[in-house]
Amino acid sequence: MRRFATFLFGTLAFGADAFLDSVKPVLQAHCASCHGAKSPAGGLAMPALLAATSDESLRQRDKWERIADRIRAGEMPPKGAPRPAEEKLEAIVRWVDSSYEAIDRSRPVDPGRVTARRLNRFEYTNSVRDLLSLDMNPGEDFPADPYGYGFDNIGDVLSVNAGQTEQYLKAAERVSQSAVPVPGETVPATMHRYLAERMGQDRQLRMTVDHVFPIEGVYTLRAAFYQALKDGTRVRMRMSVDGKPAAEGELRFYYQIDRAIEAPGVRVTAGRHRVEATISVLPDPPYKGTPPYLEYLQVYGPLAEGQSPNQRFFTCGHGAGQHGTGCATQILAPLARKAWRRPVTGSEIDGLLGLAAREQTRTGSFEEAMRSALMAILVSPHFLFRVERDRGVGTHPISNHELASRLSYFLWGSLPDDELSRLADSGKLETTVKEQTLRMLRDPRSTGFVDSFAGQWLQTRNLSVLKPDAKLFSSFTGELAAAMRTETNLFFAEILRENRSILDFLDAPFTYLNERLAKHYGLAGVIGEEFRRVDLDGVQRGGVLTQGSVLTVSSYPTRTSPVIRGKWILDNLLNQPPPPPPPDVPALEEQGVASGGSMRQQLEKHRSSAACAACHTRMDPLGFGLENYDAIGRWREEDASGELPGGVRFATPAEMKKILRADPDVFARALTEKMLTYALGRGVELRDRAAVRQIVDRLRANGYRMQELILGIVESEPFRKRRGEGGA
Amino acid sequence: MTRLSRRHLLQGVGAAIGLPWLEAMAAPASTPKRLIVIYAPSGKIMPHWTPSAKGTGFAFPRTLASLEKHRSRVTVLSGLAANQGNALGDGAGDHARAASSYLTGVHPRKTEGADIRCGVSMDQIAATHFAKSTRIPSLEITCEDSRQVGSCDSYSCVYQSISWKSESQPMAPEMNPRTVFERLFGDATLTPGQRAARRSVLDLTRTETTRLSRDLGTTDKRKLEEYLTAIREVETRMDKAGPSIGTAAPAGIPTSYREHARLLFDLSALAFASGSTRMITFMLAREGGLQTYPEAGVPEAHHSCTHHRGDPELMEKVAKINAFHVEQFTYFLDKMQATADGEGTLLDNTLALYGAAIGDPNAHDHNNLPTLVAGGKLAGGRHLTYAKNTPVANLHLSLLHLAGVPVEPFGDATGRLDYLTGLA
Repeated sequence: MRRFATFLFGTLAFGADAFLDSVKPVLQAHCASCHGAKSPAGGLAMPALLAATSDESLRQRDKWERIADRIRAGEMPPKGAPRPAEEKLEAIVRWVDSSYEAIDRSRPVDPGRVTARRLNRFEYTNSVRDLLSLDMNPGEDFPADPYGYGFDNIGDVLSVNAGQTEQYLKAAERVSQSAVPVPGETVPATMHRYLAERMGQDRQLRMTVDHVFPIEGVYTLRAAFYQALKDGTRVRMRMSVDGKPAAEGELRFYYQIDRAIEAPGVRVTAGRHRVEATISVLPDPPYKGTPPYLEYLQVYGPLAEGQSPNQRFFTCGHGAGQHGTGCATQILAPLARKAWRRPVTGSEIDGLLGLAAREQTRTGSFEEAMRSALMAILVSPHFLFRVERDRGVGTHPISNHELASRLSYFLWGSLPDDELSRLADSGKLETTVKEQTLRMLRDPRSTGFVDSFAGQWLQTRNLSVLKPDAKLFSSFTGELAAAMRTETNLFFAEILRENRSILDFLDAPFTYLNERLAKHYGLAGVIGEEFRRVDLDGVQRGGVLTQGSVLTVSSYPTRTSPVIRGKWILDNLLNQPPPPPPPDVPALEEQGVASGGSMRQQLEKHRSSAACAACHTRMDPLGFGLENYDAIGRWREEDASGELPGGVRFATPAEMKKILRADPDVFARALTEKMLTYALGRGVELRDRAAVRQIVDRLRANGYRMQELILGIVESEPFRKRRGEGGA
Repeated sequence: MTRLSRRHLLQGVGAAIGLPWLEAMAAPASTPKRLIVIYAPSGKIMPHWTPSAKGTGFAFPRTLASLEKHRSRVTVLSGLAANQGNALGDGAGDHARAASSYLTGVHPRKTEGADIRCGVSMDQIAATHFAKSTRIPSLEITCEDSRQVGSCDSYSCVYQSISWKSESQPMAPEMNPRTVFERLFGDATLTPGQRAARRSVLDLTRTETTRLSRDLGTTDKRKLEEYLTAIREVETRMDKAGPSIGTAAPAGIPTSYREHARLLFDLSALAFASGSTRMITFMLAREGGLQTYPEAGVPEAHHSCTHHRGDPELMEKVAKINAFHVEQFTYFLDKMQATADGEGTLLDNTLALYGAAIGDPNAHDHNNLPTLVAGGKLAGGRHLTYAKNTPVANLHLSLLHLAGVPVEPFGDATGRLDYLTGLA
């Protein structure tokens, strides 16, 4: 799609007057009439840029980079405007690139400053889980974390208020109750009956409840249906906990039947779990009429016999009632060290021990005292915030412990494990980053990275909130949405773990499917609920663009939109987000579609106005290239041809993907910028261009392998260093 | 224990709630004691919103039809503007600017993350004043939070908040009724032991946070100070025992939008009735959001209908959503009017503002905003019109004044609004 071959960086030297000879006259002649001093198009005024000397002018880096990007993309000059010869445009882009490359090389990289980051709820939950080896989800009630730069781990954007602080207290309380057993404390069994009618799930074939189980133990689950059926009609009911089957039963209906199935003893860990029941009428004997629907879901427990207190917390090895004076230190010191991700000072330990002593006096219980101390560790700012310290005003490496946290939150979304901590303690982490990174990618905890990063980069996280129109897309269920997300995650995970080329994201001959999703795609031969790798020879699929997840999140609830899909590609795969439409130009949407006009005819209007055409000549065709897939990603016969700026044509999605793949550096740069944003927890700025360029160079030299990208990031200056406050 | 539905939640509000300390806070009888701002985003089909006649005795237009029964308690205000929501050289991003400028009267700084900046919003001005006399200074709720990934028109998505505690701290609204319920009434279920433990823990945490923030850079220090403020607020709140309430928490977020909105309105009424708070902001959905309204006959995402360019079909959809939102508000007024409070009703002692900072959805403009106020014993049944571009912050100033909050003009307010209390 780029008009020119990839530019080779740094091979073309310019004379001092390249600006005067090749840049200024062309921009003056071709651009300044729209981009004049008075109300310049897009807010970009040429006269001020061109009047200065080249050195002065280059200080306006954001403007020059924008000019180069727009020319490179073929968007400027806009269609219909007189065009200089291509080599003249090429010379401008080359001048911009090489000028800034020279500038970047002439001075040290400014690594920037990362604002203290509050753990987001994903990181909070993982950190608690790994700190205490507890299988619970304590952050589930926390409010959604806000997004900045497309990610929810940006320090500048994450804040905290009293409401959240109460949630932190409550979560810490729940965690410490689960982690620290108190002798003789059993939880009395209670019964919760969730009526479908009162859950907003009236008359459904599926009922879902998120139930909080007070402690790990054995519970009895029950589900019942309602509706008189014809005698002899058979129904099948199923119950599951967190998607794992708990009970299944076939009932033959007679009027006085007990319309319920029961899962008599299910072991569940403490915390919230999803309990689900489904009902379906079996085809034999045939049944017509009102289908049965679920009436209630019931949870009873914990049963007395299943409650086994977990003594893991008491690392001093003593049983209940035997804890001596040293026990508190022995338990709390390593816990605080791990939770706070650095060596803990004597006065910090004293603070915790003092609290424990006061609590022991108040309650008369060592265990209660430990619960309070654990709570204090978890609501401590040292746990909730990742703070990095300035060591002087200039640029300097972050500490080994800060590096351990950067690595672990990047690749696991959790706190450093013992190995990382040991290396940090001995100061050896800096020199073993590569081995550690590869080890961390092999660790199952990297699944956290896949789900969090892929879910945000590709926006597949939105599958859980989007609601395709139930009438038009009745096959779109929560189960299908989950399957779509799983496909993308497994696909991402293979590229990561097998160190495949990142270009596979654009097109690849394989994917992961289960029966449900394969049927959705119209593919036969995949049987069963479990996902498996599927070769895509001769299939109109391959790469994230043809996955149901991406196709659904880039559609309207009732139909596809080439504009949204084109914008999705520009935003996420090319990282060249088009500016939103100017405020005075109402967005032209595919409004005529409903009333019979063709979407293509409607969108042609985008080309008729220069203001729209600048972006839409690229955005719309990219979206049309995916018109073979409907709003939930099913294949359909449709015209999916398009013409990109510069007259590059394609007829099918496959051809469009080939065009995207033909310019690997553009995608490599985009993915690098996205992942660097996620890794650093701050926006990627112009001053990071040098670091980004180095990573892209490294990728190009290594077959665009995914792990080279990760290594390039963890070895980059912005990841390893920090500028002190007041430093330049 | 059974989970109770929305329908059961507010049965006999007064009877269900114990009011341990509320009685002491009785304000002067003539002063409305509470404020609620309901934000209905993404514009209105204005011809269906604006009464065709000024003054009194007008017919309620289609969008407002459900409010007819509250005529004597409702005043429609036309001509107000959120001038700071305009681009002012910042290009696109009208949704983010609408939300963040509405209650602040301040033009937000355009950024995706670094250096977030807007202004203190009117609800937080009120919250600071009310903090002495309530347990929860303010409550921020919504039917659609920002769990949607993606950018928000080149602005950080935090600019989707209408409530700003400081110029750099937006208050994220809560969407889950269960969480709102627990925030309001969870205290009552704490045992004295839990309470004591929480106190000891917070005591240590406060000391640690103070120490940590001492030698940090400017931005990091600000983040830690947010936490310090929050800790102090939680400690203060624990000094005021919460009301106990004879009903169980809602189970979660209902799948139906109507149920969700009504449950949050129920909780708002309950929060007021129990004296838990005196200031609520409620976003019926996000600006430019993707909420769908199949119950109102609109399965499409809200925002995609709003750029209607005069297409009658799309305008009809927007009008349906507009009226549907107002119907939920009417439900709230019903509830507030039906609940006794002192000499009168809960509504008598509450000022409600229903509005937003986008007028015409097609243009996404910020003048001639859809605005109405209800309750607070204001003389209703009126349609007031104001000079073009009168800052909506002037209305906020008036509402704060009526609620007894001593306040200087803030944001772009130029003074209190004429005629609001008097007849016109």
